[in-house]
Amino acid sequence: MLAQLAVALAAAFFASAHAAEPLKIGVLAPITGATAADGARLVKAHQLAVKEINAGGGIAGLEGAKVELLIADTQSKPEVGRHAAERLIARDEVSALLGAWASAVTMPSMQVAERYRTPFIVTSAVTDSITERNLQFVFRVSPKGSWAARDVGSFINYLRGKGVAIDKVALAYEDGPFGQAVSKGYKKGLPAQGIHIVGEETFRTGSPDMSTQAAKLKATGADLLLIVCYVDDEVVLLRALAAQRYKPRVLGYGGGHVHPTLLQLGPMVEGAFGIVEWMPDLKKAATEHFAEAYQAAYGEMPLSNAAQAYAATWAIALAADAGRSRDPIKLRDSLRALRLDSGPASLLPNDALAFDAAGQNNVGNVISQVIGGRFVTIWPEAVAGQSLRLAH
Amino acid sequence: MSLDIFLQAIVSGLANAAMYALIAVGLTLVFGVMRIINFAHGEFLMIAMYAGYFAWSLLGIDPIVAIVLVTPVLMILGTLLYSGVMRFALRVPEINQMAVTLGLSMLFQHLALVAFTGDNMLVTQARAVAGVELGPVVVQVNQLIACGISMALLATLYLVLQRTDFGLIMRAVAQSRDGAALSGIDVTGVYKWAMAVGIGTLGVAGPLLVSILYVNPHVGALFTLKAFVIVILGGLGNFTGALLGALIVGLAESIAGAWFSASVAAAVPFVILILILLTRPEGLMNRSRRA
Repeated sequence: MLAQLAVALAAAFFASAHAAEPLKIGVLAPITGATAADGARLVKAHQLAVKEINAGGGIAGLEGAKVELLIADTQSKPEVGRHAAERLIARDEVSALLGAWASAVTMPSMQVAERYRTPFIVTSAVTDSITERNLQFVFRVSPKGSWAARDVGSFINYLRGKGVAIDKVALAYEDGPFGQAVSKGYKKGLPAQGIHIVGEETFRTGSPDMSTQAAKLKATGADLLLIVCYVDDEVVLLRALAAQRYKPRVLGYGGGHVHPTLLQLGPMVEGAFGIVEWMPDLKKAATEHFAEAYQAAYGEMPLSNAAQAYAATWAIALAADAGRSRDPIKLRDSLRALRLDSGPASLLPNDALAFDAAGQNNVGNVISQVIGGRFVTIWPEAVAGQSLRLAH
Repeated sequence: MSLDIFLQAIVSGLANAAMYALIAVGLTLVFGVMRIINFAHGEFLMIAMYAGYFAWSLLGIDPIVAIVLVTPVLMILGTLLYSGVMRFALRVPEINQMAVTLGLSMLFQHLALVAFTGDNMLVTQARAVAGVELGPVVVQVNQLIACGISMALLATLYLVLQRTDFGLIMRAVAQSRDGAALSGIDVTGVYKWAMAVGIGTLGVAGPLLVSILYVNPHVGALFTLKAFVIVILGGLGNFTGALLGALIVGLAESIAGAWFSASVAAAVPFVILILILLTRPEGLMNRSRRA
């Protein structure tokens, strides 16, 4: 009888051990290297989502399994990212991967996931082709880079509708894959919406001086300057423009333009626009919850990529819940069927988080403005936290 | 390209060249005297930039004034670097020396990441956005200040090296370590001073640069590669060579930047480097060297 009891106990023990086996999610992020600060923010958002999922009883569809994050450092390097993806899948047997910040690191890493038939949700990389290669395991919560042109065009025409004279638009961008891709989108998309681009200037990331570029931009006489670069370069460029006493309206691209560093410049950036994928003041219930929880946990406001990382983490957990499986292929199938119009994963500025046949989430950008030394969402009006300020 | 833009490129190029020269002379000085390539040079610049930033943000000291505080600190760090690391590295093969300074460079970057996070920090004074108009050309006030101070310091350094006993002793050690030792020169003392001056120049460059740019843990790397190109162009270990190299790189980069797209322009200094090395492998200012 004792033996029987022992067997029963052991069985119960193993059953519960099996039930408690966590859902492993791999995260590829730049913990060290040039974009380490961004990596740290991404990891915080992933961890916040996991904390919430686990505190809510884990994944119901997997008998309450907890989520376990396995974070790997890409060092902001493509080859390191690829190796990390391989290790996470082959050795750690993760059910899905999230990452990997920059497009240059994301693309080789997601190829690994595709080869191993493991879902990879791209959280922040914007290179269009990521979801145009007919890959079966790659999903993306962030918008395509070229969609920015569509949204910027709509916004310029919205400004014109408000009586703002914008006749000449100039481009200034960093001459790397990021700047080239976005500005190519602008050059292709804006003329179609009746917006004339009168000049373009490029610079290398990390340039210590942009006086010449500033002088050339001034010579174009543009009244709106579209900037595509990282925040450090933007500081150098804006200072050079100010020294030239040239004050066009500026519209910067991406998270780099809604960055605390920029606010250190004070009055110089007041009124500046930014096109960004998400803002913490978006008028959505999920956004409000996330911004508060993030602020409470880390004492700082989340940036757009944090929201994407958070949404992607929730999406995996909800897909595993809906499909009642941690098997990568079944997980892929439930990701495809996912449509989240409420709950934590719905914090991005579209009606519902869902992936189309190519794995792309159909999500637009929002426009922010610096008003009173703070970044505020001002467009589209449906999700705007405050209205546009036109005093220049 | 209009004439105005061309002039702007020349003036900006000259202003940048002065800063580059200030960073490069320290590197070339250390190499000239000790025959060690210090890959952590840029990280000492980064430390000096943080020092300049914190002097401004915590103590309210203008970066120009902070030079007086930061320079002695960097000089002391230079001597510590000598007695703590370089002293031992002198005895090992060159490849090991490189590994040591390269490792040091990474160590400093990671320590800075831990201590100050990866965020950019800015010195935001009113003059950071002010410009001076010189005819059709605009120079940022801070660039002008940095350029002026760099040139003054470079001139002083040149005079010290050429006209004083201290400079003579340094040049003697650079020329022949054994010869200098036989003549009764305290070679170890000279090494220590070379490190103090070589790293100390960054104590001037750091506060000046942080008022123009920003500082983050990786900012030194932006200048390390440029400093190497400059130093090799002019001739490793040659002081005037570093000045000439800085002038060439600063101007080439700026003028090419006005003409071509930024990626093409960024390659121009390297193309010049290759062309010069093909014709004068010892660098522009070095006479063919004894074995």
